[in-house]
Amino acid sequence: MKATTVVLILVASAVRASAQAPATGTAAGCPLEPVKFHACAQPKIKAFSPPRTPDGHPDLNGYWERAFTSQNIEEHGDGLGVQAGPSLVIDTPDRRIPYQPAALELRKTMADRFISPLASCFPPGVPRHALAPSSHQILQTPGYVVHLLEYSHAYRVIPTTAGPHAPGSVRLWQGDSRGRWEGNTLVVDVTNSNGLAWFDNAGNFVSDAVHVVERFTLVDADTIHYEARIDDPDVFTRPWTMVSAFRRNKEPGYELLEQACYEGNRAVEGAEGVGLKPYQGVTGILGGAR
Amino acid sequence: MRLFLAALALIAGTTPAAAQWLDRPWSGIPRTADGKPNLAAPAPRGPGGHPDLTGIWSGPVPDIRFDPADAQPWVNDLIRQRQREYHKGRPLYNCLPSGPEADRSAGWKRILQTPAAIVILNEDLSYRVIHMDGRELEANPAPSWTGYSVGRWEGDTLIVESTGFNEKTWLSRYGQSHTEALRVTERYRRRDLGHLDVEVTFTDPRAYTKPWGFTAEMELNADTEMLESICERSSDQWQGGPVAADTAVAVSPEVLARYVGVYHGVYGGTKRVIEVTLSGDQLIAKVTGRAAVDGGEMRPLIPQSETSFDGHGIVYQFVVGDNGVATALDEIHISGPERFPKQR
Repeated sequence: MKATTVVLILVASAVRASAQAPATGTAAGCPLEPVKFHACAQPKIKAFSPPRTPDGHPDLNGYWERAFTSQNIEEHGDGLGVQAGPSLVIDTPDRRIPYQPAALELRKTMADRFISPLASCFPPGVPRHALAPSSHQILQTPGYVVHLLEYSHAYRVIPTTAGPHAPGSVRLWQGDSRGRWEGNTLVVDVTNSNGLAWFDNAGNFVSDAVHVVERFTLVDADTIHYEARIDDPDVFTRPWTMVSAFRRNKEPGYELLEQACYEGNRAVEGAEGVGLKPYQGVTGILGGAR
Repeated sequence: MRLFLAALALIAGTTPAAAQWLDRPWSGIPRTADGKPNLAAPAPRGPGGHPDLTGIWSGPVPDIRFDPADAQPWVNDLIRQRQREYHKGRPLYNCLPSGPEADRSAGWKRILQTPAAIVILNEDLSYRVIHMDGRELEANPAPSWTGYSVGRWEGDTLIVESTGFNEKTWLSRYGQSHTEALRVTERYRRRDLGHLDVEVTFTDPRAYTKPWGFTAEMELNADTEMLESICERSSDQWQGGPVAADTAVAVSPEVLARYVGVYHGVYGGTKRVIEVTLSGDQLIAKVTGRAAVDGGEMRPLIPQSETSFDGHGIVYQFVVGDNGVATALDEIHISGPERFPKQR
């Protein structure tokens, strides 16, 4: 019952009624199943000559809708307020997240013990930013890519000029992103995470040692192939890769609205009411990792 | 007092430590002979020939040009009520968007300019979009915290008009309210590489008989990056508690009369004069000096004990001699008490 209550709270708080439900079907003519989409997109990416910004980089500007939600990035069935979905993990034998044994045990009870970060209106972190509820907007200027969300009016900034990461003492919800263009792909190296963001509502997690490398690539004019390689030696047995997609929102005159997430948000009270605690990361819970 | 401390703790909690500055040299900006950014160099221009406002900016909390005489009575009533409540309803303290609040023009912002839109990114991860594609403001916009903004160039000045604000945001941290009729006009002028002046005017005839506003003077923070500063409200951060009026005690007018007088001292590096008068059975402190603005000039002193009073969230503690007559007044700030000896 506890889990049910939490799911209801999350649905109420984190998803606007008008938010576009992630669609099923196809993107760029490829099936929206991560492994199949990934394989199908590769030759199309090679063949596609993307539109470019004045400074010569692929043009990602526009409004975008996520292809998959962040209810559970592993395969899951229908539930109360949860739509069935495939695993976004593409490169492990069972398509499960390769948790270390202690981390797997923690994962099993995570969502029954702690308040989901999005219920508290916290930033989604990376890679969840790419799966976050609501519409997305990408703005490109020379030297920067900005990824805006309607959800909690959050954003992330990706500098695309060379530079070092922030010193290790700096710990951020959204991490520290450094981007670069490799051919037609925006490659983003993300470190300095505070380890407090989850992948999804199911409680899939990382530590603050996580290192994410993301790849944004246009498959056609209206589809972005999104890939994130996750490395966290404190939590996983090996690095692994997840795949999602963005589809362009072509509605004329479309624009992001505002979601003041804290406004009237009773989700935290509700979650505390059923005994959940604020999530403070896995340091101290995941014993002996470092 | 507890609430006041809580409010201050929240401010502290939502502002990043100044030490978290990154050393990130920028390429492509003019530099002086010693290699420092040449902040006096001409403002850069974008592809359209207009000034390019792109950069990381910050500035001090601006002085607002507000005269209570120009506000409708209900606005002044609300200001007083919010003072009595230690400004605990200020959107910032509740992790809510600050909208047009003047004080929030301070702090760090990143401005990015694209042909279709200019975005202003705040360090709390909130943002504003200023549409630059020539569209008009809507006649009947859906009210929101951040409003709806369109911009146009007039020479080298960017003029931004915004409407569509809900009634929940404040126009300054002192609690000036507004209605949904609020219109905000901003004039952005990048004087040179290192300086951006923003002239802001609030127009809301339902709340103010005259427009008023402030000037934000921002400086470029070159050779660094802006970091996030997330408002992490949780139930243990906000103490809550009764307001001063609810915990007031009765003190006889004879005792109150012994505190009447003029107290002099220094606060925040400027001279401050506190003139305490008795009106009926109500002690009033009139605080003057530049720092007088925090809490307002006229502060009714609400007794919490025979010698300790609440004045708009600040505790005033009278120091009395053997005869019960005050010799000094301690104004108790988060940084500690400041003593103001009695002059007459």
